[in-house]
Amino acid sequence: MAGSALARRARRLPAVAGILLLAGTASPGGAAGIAAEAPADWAAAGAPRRFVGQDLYGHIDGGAELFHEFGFRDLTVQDYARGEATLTVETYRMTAPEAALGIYLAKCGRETPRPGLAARHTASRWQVTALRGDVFLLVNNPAGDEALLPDMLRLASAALADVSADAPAPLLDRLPAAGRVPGSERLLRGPIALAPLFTLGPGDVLGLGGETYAVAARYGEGAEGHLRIVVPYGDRRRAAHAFRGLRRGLDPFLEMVAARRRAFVFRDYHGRFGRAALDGDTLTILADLAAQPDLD
Amino acid sequence: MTKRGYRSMAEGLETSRRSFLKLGGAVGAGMVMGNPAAWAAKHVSKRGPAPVRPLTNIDEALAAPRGPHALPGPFPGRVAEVRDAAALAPDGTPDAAAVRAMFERGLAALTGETPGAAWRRFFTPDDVVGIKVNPVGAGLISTRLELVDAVVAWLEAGGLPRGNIVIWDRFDDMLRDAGFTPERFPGIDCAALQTMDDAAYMDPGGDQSGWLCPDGTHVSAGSFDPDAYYWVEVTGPQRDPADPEKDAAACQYLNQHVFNGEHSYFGKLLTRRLTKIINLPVVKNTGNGISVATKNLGYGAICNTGRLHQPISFEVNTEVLAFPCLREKLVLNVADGLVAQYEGGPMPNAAFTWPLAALFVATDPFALDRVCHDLLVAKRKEMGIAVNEHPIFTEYLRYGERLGLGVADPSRIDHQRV
Repeated sequence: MAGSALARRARRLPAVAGILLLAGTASPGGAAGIAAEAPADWAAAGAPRRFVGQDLYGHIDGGAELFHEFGFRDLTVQDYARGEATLTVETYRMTAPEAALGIYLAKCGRETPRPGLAARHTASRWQVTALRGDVFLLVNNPAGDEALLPDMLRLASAALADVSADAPAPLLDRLPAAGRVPGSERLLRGPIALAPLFTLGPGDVLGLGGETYAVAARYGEGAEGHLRIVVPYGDRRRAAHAFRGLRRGLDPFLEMVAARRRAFVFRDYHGRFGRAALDGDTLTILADLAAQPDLD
Repeated sequence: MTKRGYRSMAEGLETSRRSFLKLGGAVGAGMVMGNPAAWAAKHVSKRGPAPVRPLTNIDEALAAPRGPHALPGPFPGRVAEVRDAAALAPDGTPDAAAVRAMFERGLAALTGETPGAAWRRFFTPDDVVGIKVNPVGAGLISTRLELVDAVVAWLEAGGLPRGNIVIWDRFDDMLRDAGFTPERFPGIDCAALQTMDDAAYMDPGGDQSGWLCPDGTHVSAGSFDPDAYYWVEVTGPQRDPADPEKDAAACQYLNQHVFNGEHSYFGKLLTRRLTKIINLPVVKNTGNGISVATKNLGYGAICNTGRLHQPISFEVNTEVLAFPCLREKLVLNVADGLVAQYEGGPMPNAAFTWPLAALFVATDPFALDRVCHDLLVAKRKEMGIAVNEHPIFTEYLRYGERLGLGVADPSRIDHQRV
């Protein structure tokens, strides 16, 4: 099934994050980001399909919310063909390199890069997922033919050739390096990105507001591991307000077991522990700890 | 449409229904099962009651008499998991003979009986048996044709005519795309509950005649039973000719969901034609949860589901299965885990599929889902995927147990690995 058909089918899926379908019409033209010239033997098949703003729901209903939370500009989908083989390139232009990095970290899984693509990426015979500047890129191989992997990488290279390699702000530097599990780093800009990690409370309980970036990562392995979330609000008053909001809106399945003015400790549904602590303009949350931490 | 109530239901439960749902489905379930005050006192947070969720007609479903085949069937809590690496070729193609052998081994592990005896436990030659497949992600993560072949062979060997077998799903084109056609399954009816016009969906200002009748109804409206429905006090988007954008969104919704009011009707196929159902879902995730046995029917047997995802989400999987046309007819579940997907679901995403080479056989769909949930959580961890194990993602399974539809407590699940 071609990538576009997969997307068409996927649109009907009962996504749990569920959004009622919004107007989702692909509009032609403005094919920014697609490969200007297809690699040898490959030819564009059909016109590019472009999705702007809320139109994204027409392409990936059930998954579009995350893109919008980080800051989505537009998507161009282009099929390529060579004989019976087809590949589809999806070029997502985000509002900033940080937004593209946030999507990439959420989507890439365990990174398995291959030679031949000079951009951060992970590749398998089914899909190449890549990042450069403000672009998040997918090359889909619906047939999963391993022999097409070099072509997928060449298509990705071509599609990214004219994309500025602007580096995102060093947000992940807010996470301590010692003990950090490689590949577990995430950016958060709202509740959709937080949902796969931990449920602290309803809605935007961290008060990120689609503006503030939080960072998260796992530390340690197995039962001794834990999750760390760091939210640098950049403003003491905002941070204090968010801390109070978290305390008031803490998930009902989390039991607060100790508290003082700028920190509290909670026990979760598995009998593990967490701590939220405010320090200046930064809120730090530890979760999934094996033992009850000190308040300080 | 203002009427409520399942057709096999006695009237007079309005008070309990409202009380049930004002406290939220889980608390309401406590009421159904016995002591609501005690249950609520135990489960309502000190920081306030659970959010009020929309009312539903679940109490009407529960009041309908239970028959001899009612869920969770004769083997509550038992799940037979069969693995055979030889069932998949290196390119992922299933080996039909191996899949059939796996199915029969699973059936034997579940029932302790021969295939013939197991058949007689569930069916008579007069039954009309519906095989519910999952055609999403055709060829990648959809129900494998070879598994359907194995089930059909078992049904025929037991004495069921091919003409009494129906392979079904909600959408006709998805069924075709996944290979469930009369040409592939001669003599067997491949039936969908509805159609959807993709071209009209992508062009709301264009020709809508592919799905919209002149009288304003959906061409598939007659496929749904007006007397059998899941009622939830929330609607889909409503048409508004004065607001073109809003009207277009409502048109798209109706095209896909047939109705947009407070009723999700069951397909007439289920209520009037089928006498037994075999559920053949696939093993895949949906966000932090899973989309396997209960969801394949919870969102696949009714229309007008788009309105339900956000307000009550997984609990639809539980409550829809409580209605007699599923609760009394669903006799067997065989989850297709030949190729499974641990991330990116429910959309198909090949990058996160893996050759599990497994089948899961159970009469109890809640126990089956519990086993698959734990399996997918373990796989996500193994692959370095972030995992949120909040109880809300399995609460619908415990809800099913409280409603007497299955077993969700892992300590009471008899997980047999064959």
